[in-house]
Amino acid sequence: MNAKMRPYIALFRQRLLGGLQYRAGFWGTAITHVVWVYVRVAIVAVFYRHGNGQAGITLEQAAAMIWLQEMALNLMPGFGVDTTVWSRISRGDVGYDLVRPLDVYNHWYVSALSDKLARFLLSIGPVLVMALLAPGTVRLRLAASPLSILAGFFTLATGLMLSCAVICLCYAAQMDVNVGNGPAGALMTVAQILAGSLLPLQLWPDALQTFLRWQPFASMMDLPLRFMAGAAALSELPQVLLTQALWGVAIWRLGRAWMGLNLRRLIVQGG
Amino acid sequence: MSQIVLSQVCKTFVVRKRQKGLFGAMRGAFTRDKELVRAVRELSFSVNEGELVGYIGPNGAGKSTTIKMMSGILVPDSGEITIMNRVPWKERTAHVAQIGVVFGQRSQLWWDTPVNESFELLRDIYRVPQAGYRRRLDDLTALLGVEKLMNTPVRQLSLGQRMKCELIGALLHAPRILFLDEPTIGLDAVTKLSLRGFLTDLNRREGVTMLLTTHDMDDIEALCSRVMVIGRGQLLFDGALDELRARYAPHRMIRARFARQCAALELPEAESVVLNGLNAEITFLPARVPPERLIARLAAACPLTDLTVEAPDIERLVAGMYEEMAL
Repeated sequence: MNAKMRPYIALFRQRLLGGLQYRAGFWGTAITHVVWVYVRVAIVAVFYRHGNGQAGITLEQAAAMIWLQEMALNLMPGFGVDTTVWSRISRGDVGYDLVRPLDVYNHWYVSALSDKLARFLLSIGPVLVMALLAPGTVRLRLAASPLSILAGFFTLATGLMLSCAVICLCYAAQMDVNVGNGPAGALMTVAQILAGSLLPLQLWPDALQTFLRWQPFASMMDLPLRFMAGAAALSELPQVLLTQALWGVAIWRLGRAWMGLNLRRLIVQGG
Repeated sequence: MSQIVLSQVCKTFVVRKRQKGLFGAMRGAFTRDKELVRAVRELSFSVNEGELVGYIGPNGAGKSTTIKMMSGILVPDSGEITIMNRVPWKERTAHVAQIGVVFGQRSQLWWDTPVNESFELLRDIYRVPQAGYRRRLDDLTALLGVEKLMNTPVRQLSLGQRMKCELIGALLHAPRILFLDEPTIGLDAVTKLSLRGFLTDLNRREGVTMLLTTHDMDDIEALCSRVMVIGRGQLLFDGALDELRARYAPHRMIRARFARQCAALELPEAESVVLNGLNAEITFLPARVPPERLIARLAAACPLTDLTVEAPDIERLVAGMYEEMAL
């Protein structure tokens, strides 16, 4: 094992195992996701049946998108927010994070990554089973080619890198006493909407599609899932990766710089 | 050469004041009154390897701020800090790998994780080799008597048990310097005694330099050969505990109990004599009159049943000192 990576792997492992011990939370999360799928599919179905516009995707594809979204939601910033770093900042416990021989940004990035992955892995199993067993229109049908599904998984993973960079940007904002907790919370809400977690982005007005495609949050969830639901061609893969890379590097650099600035003028409260 | 050197260190915090009430809060969104709090001003001292230094002062004196600057967490506004030839905040990761820190009011252990897993995580974070880790952990747990707690989740530990585990966590990577910020806060007498014993032992065996802040004067008395007193961000005293006593509390007191009522006590060398039934309290300056002469006089005046000579307790001494300096 690479000695440099050892602390980060240990932190990752601890978080993953830590999440597993809460059984009630495990079942509660899974059931919540499934209930939401039924509610959201029912709403979308009403528009398909009685609306008079043209949708970019079929109802089956929309239902598939909604299932996949509920499974992928835990990879998004703002969903199931990890409050530990924020509470450590506000209570002054952050002092202990700063006496570790680790880069603070990397430390928190790995915490965010572990938290996201742990939540994702813990909820995906039961939700997937329910998705494949669901009746009629609601059932998850993966009509896409194996290659498209693979592209979906791959871009979801690279999207997670971007997602964690956004979370670290929020940590940096929370560390800044001039900013506080509010804007980060607002950003999280915007992220959820623009990632398509309320309504798949292909069901938004046509005029918005170009903007929606290039903004950072689509490439974390909506664009990768389109490959899996068969709602996007494989030829769109380079564009998705490019979006993720551009935003990822920009947000990563911004977060690092901001956090560095905060550390220089940090106030750690209390005795 | 000194292991820790601070010279002319200053740290100021900006405190933003909010006006009272709703209107004040709304106004605060546009303009705010600022106040500068000078937490530490022109602080200079140095500590040699292996020293055990007590760092005391009232709340808000700047103790924790100093510790945090020495730990590399806070950056001073001006002045220099050099610890083991490094500037803490410039080479933070290299610096913190060599020090251990315990903040008595915080926890560094993962609260929903068993103690040994928390330790293993710290082992990996500090990249401690497995062989050395096992030996070190066995040593430390045996010394503090917490072997049985290793599988208990941190959240189920009592405060005393947790503090012992916090201490182990801070020592796993065998730091050369240990900063202890109120390590005995809230602990019962027995636990305090065992922690003190452990710290003295560690200092003697491994030569670990320790700097501890505390409000418990017994900690200082039991542990520290050297005391630094800080008030309002400035160093007020730096020296041996006895020296502090000699300068700020030179008096001693004889408490005597007589076998029968004494008519009158004539002790012109004493500073004060209080006679209360069978008991007498005599305050004197050892520099002016040797205690044995006073004791001989007392014994000659009346038969004694009990007699003690006491130094003023350091708690009262420090309280007097704070008062004198208007802190």
